[in-house]
Amino acid sequence: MKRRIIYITIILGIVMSSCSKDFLNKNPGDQVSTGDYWQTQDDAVRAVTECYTFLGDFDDRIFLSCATDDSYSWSNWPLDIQFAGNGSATSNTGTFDHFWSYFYSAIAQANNVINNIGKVPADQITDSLRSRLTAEARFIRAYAYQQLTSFYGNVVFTTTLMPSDSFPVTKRTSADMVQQFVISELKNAASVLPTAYTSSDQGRITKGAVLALLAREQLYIGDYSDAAATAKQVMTIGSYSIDNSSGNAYNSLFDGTNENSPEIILQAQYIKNTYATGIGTWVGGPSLGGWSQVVPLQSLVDAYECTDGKSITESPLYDPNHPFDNRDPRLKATIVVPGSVVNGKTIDVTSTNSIDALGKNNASLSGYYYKKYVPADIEGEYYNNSYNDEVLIRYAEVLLTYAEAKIESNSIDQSVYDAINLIRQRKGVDMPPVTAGSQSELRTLVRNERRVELSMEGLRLFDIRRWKIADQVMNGNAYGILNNYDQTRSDYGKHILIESRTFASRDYLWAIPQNEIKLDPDLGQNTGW
Amino acid sequence: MLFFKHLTGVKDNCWLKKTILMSKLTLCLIILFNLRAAAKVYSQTNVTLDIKNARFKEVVSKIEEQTSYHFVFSERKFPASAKFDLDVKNMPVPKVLDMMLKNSGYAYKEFGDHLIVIASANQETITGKIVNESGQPLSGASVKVQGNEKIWALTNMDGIFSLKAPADAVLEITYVGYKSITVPVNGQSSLTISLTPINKDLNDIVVVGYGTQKKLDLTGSVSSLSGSDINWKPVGQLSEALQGMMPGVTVTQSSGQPGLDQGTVRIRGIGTLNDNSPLVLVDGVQSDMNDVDPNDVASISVLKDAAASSIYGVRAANGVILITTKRGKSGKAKVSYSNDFGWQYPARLSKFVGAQEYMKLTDLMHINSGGDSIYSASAIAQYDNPDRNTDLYPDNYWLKKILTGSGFQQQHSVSVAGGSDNVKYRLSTNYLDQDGLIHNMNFQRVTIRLNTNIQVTKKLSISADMSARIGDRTEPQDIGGSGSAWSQFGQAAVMNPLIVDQYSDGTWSVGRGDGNPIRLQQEGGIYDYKDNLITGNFRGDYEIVKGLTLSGIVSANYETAFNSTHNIAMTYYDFFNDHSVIATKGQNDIKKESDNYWFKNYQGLLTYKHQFGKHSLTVLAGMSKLTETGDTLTGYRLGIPNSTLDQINAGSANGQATTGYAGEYGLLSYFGRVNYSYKEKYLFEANLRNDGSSRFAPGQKWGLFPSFSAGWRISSEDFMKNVNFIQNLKLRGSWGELGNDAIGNYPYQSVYNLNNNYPFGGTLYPGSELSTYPNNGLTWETTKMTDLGLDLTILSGKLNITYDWYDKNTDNILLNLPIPQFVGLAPTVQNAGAVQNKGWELNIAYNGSIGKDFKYNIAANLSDVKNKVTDLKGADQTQTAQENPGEITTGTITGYPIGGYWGYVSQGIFQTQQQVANHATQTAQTGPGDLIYKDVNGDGKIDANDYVYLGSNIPRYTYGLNIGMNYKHFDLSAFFQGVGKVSVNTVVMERAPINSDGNFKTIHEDSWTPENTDATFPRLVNTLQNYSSSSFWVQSGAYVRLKSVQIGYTLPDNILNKTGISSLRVFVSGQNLFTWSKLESDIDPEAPNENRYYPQVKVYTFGLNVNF
Repeated sequence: MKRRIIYITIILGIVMSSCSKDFLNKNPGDQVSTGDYWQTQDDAVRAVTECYTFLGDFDDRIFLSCATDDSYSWSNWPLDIQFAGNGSATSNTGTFDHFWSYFYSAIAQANNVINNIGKVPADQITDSLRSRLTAEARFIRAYAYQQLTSFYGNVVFTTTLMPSDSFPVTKRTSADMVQQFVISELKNAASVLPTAYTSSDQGRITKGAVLALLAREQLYIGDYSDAAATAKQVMTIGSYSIDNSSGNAYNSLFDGTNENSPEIILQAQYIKNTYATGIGTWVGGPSLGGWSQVVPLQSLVDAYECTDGKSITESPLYDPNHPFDNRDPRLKATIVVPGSVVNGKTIDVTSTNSIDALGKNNASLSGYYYKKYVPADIEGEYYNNSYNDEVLIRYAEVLLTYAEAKIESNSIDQSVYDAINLIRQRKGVDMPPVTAGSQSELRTLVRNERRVELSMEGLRLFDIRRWKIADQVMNGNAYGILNNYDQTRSDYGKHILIESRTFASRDYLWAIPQNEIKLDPDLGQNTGW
Repeated sequence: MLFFKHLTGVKDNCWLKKTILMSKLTLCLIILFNLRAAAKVYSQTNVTLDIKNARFKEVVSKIEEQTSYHFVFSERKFPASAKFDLDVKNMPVPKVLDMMLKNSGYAYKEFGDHLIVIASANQETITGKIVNESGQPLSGASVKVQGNEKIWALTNMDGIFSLKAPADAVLEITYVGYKSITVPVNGQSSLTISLTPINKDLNDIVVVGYGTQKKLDLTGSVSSLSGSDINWKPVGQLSEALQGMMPGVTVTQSSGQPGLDQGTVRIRGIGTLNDNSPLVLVDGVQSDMNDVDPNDVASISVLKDAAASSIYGVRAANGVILITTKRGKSGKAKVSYSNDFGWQYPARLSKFVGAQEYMKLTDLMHINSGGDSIYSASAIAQYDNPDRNTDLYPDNYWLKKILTGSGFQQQHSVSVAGGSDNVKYRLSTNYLDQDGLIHNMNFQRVTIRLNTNIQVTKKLSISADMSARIGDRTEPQDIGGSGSAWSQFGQAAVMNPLIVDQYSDGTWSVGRGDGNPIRLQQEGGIYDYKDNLITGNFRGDYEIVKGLTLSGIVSANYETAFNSTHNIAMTYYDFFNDHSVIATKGQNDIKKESDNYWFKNYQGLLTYKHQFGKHSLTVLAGMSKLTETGDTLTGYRLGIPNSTLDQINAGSANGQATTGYAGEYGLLSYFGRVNYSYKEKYLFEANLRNDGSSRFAPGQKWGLFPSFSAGWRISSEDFMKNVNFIQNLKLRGSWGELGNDAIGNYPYQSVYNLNNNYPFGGTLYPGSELSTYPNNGLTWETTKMTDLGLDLTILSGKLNITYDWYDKNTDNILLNLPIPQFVGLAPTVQNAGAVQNKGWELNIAYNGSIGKDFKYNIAANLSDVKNKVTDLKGADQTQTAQENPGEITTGTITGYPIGGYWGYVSQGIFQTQQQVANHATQTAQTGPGDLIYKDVNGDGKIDANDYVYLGSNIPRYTYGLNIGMNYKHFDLSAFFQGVGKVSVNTVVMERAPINSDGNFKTIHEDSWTPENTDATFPRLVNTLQNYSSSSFWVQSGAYVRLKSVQIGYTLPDNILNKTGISSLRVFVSGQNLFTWSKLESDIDPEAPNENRYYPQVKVYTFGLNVNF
């Protein structure tokens, strides 16, 4: 009997051992539960840092020019923007889905900060830090809405986090109203944010960045007088200037060697190896280990003036047999033409054995490559071999915004020429200054100046939309380099024909992603999609 | 010479043997007769013998020593092989002989001078009829004379047999499915013998949750297999061996990569949008079935309906698989050894075009897209010259070049089992060594298991089982983290033939620009995945009073994965440009990852069994406490000075990184079961389980899961007494609820992820990302299942049929309900949606024999499941895979199967521009040669509103067919497996590339051109318009596959007699040898969606099984 009790006790003991009350309460050890957040200053700082991760979208954003007459992309990965470029896109095209979800993710994180930062106890955080962080989040949210309305027109608008388990069935808000919100938010943020930070905070949103974006938005919506005034405010801050530090200054802004230039107002920042991008792969050619996924079209090459300040159709300096001679130096700073040297390597597509030549694996289909944005050194795997910052706003754009706004509002004065000439006469560029012209002439000039100066900076797509020229420039054949060197090809003596493009009126706005409409039919689709 | 007839009657045709035999015997007689004259005359006629296990010859010589008798007999025939134990004292020799020759079919005759000649007894012709219990004749029954295997007969169609045997012979009658009986002839010349059926199957014991049950008494739906059903397959992973073996159990294998070739197991369809994996318990402990050596398996039970599985509550919604391992039996140690050696080959490979055709097709694509050709005619013409410069004009067939592995595999298993009455043991070990199709893509595994049973006292018994698995898998360095298999097969599937692998001077090409797969195989670092598991399972059973047993079970598993990922920087050079550096891919770095997993389970069971009169009652009560803890730590360093060093310390502290996290899970359960049966006719069972899971919010943690089932053995009813052709007929019915909490460890909590960083001023700062909204209302996913079943045994037990119909409804599915992306956060888990699986399962098994030596069995199973989403709270959604164009759109839509295919209805190919103009607008690029999509809603444009349901990839009508045959020493097993109805998305496999990154297959030569208007494929263009989701790319994936076939030969005993080997079998076998399917030959119907991963393999194997 005694033994029986012992056995039963042992077995029961095994069964019942350590049934503590907390047995069914388990919490993750590497994540913070929502209820425990917003207690400290660090919580607030970290949540805002998270918002900044949405500033940069280099791996996709660099492809944006392929939806314009500047560039061509042969690859549908990582972004299938070629279909937006050639007119075969549908509401299921991944590009549309990508930017839509990307900016709404940014908005959610910013809303999270703006909605909750007030919960951090006052003894944990100073008022000034709290309001600065809030303003940073507001800027990022405004930037996201600014981009969204530019891509899609009317968009879903929310300033609070939407509970995801019972999302309200939502209609889109008109682009006008969202743009007005962006403007008021930016004005608000501009009143809070400092003009500069200490070096350890380098890269945060400054007052200059806010005003520059405000000027851009005012220009986009056609509020020219405000756009000019706001741009002027940026110009008077005093800490920004066109970089004339060297003859190579223009290139250095984009290749990772001059990231603290006074010309850069806002950039998405990257660090070699640890916080890197694949830009070198997408933009570089085979001899740089790249895949030539974003390559210039003849149309962009032709946009660069001759050194006399005249277009190639007008200038006597233009020689079709030597089309790259006597051209605006920004042509060769931006585009690899036969014989260009990039990172010490000569790239010459006219040499048939060159791995960069037409028809070679991963070689450009246009015969041109971009030099702009190729990092000064490329190291690592295809997706993380680059570290150069993504310039989001720079002073040249502010100057051109100022000039364009003044021209459009027909208040052309010396300040307009000055602004344009600062850019045209940058060290190493030294194009003839602009000194006079009609509104129409100057409009043409400033538009071309925007195209060549700001190529690859994600602005051309919105420019051809607001200037309503997309249906002209995006329809028809897309050409590459003049083949005057390979007689074995059937296109000898002609420009390489890459593809035939179409642009319908629907393409002035991108489609709302089909999956979104499926989930929320009240959103409605943009016309024509 | 009639006297000698028995010696010659067996093989009349063998004249040589006969002659030798006759001469030998004659000689023997002559000598004996001559000896007689010289012999001393004994008068002794009685003998005293005490001998054991002696041959007849030895007995005779003893008798000859003691007496004056002389014997004449044939040593080659009876009774030479018989052995005798004799203990007689002073017994007359004739009496001894009477004893010895009884029933032998032989008799002796005494001649003068004490000469005794042994010869065949007087043979009588005996005829008889064998009938079954209802008097029906049984044909093919075997009738043997006991003690003399040479005399036998089979019954004919009328059940009649006829043979010659001594009048005192005893007949032994055997017939499959019936009890063998022995009948003494007793001088009768005509017999009618009635056999009683047995059903071994019905008496089978089946393992069920927390116990065993007689198959006869089952009320739930349980499929079971014995170890011998799967032991014969020379597979590395147990899940492979289960494929097609049981109705309603679907196993699909998607990869043949060594160590990663496990099958995915689904029981009764897809019940949830979450994890659909069944719970696997090995000897009662939660495990991965692939951790068990298939040779160790004693039985497998699959609990399919709620009644059978609800005792496992929360973890049972996807079905439960119970595996028991073999245990020792008392007796001498039995040693067995088996091995197999095999060679693997890809089961299917795509067929690509060569360089010249590639260039032509690429040009065609560009021209069709409004561009110019990109390859000049002269470049294409270069390929006409076999002596061309291959550095400039390469023509590489990558998919062949990467296959550098030997594909050799071998397996060895040894087991020792035995024990005494009180202690029994079985020790087994298995070694598997598999080389892949790719150099360095290998797998090695050792498993060890020791199962012991100890009877401590009469009332207390203990079982203690320990097992270990040591796995080691290697892969070559990959390309930028994309996975080794993808970096080989995936690259080879997209690299075009113009990409050089190695230039004439040995310079490696950079491949597609991200690295060269062949160089990675040969010069790259090694990724090494070590995965070790130790399990311990201890159980004590104590019988408190008769019928009442208390059991305690302690189980602990410790699994550790140690992964080492070593990369080597590889610099690629420009062959044509002074070998200048193009790029260095990868860096010399090393990452070590340690994953630790602890599983602890304490269980207590109280079982009470009682029989009172015709009532039988079993009651089980138990509790279980289970914890799982996972803990991961990784360390990383780069800057290793050279490529041969591969340890963390060799790297630089600058840039080093560590990561780590842990997860915990707790489950507390109380459960009980009552089984009651009356007269073994009316069977009832009820289960109840109460589970508490840490994965739910306070207040929602506990769930209660009941089930009820009943069975009616109609065949035991009095009114069935005269229905003799039915041996067993049972109706079963069950209903029950099951739960599921397989949704990750912390789903109800909304958390901030702390791992996103952003740099300010050149330094990374941590961010905190709000990932989801909290949902504190989360509760259990519940599956309600109704099952109706029928078990039928007829044809004297030779034919067994089991049929089940079920309706399985899963409610409150824990779901990451798709939410609009404008919400900006990941969807939170919610109890949303309901899914129905309705189906039926049929299993038919037949055992038969033809003649004495030929036995066969056929087992066929067929099942169907119809999957339907019944509610999604309005969140129906189609998912378009945008980032990977060419994928088909899948939708989870109410009224349709989970993940069904959706898209346009393809109506052929546009032939003229006029046709395009008259049709609804597709895209601005559409032209002749493109697919015509149906304007379903008639609005004049083709868009997502024209999508229709195109099919489901959830297989229906899955079947398996097992055929086993035995003829004398030969055995043959063949196993077919297939699917009757399934839709396959072929677009990824069959679409042509839309740019120069990708290779054309030979099938693309049949693409539309103005000259080839009757083409299979649409024209080649650089847009996706023809590769949109459409019915053109959804094809029937029905198939039949000869999954395994094996021929074995068991060596006859007489060869093995002196070797100490008790049995030896050699075999050859093949896996995946033939497949019948309408799909393109490179689409594997089992894993049809990709060719960029490791293919399935064909394996040719030989091996042996030895028992000592």
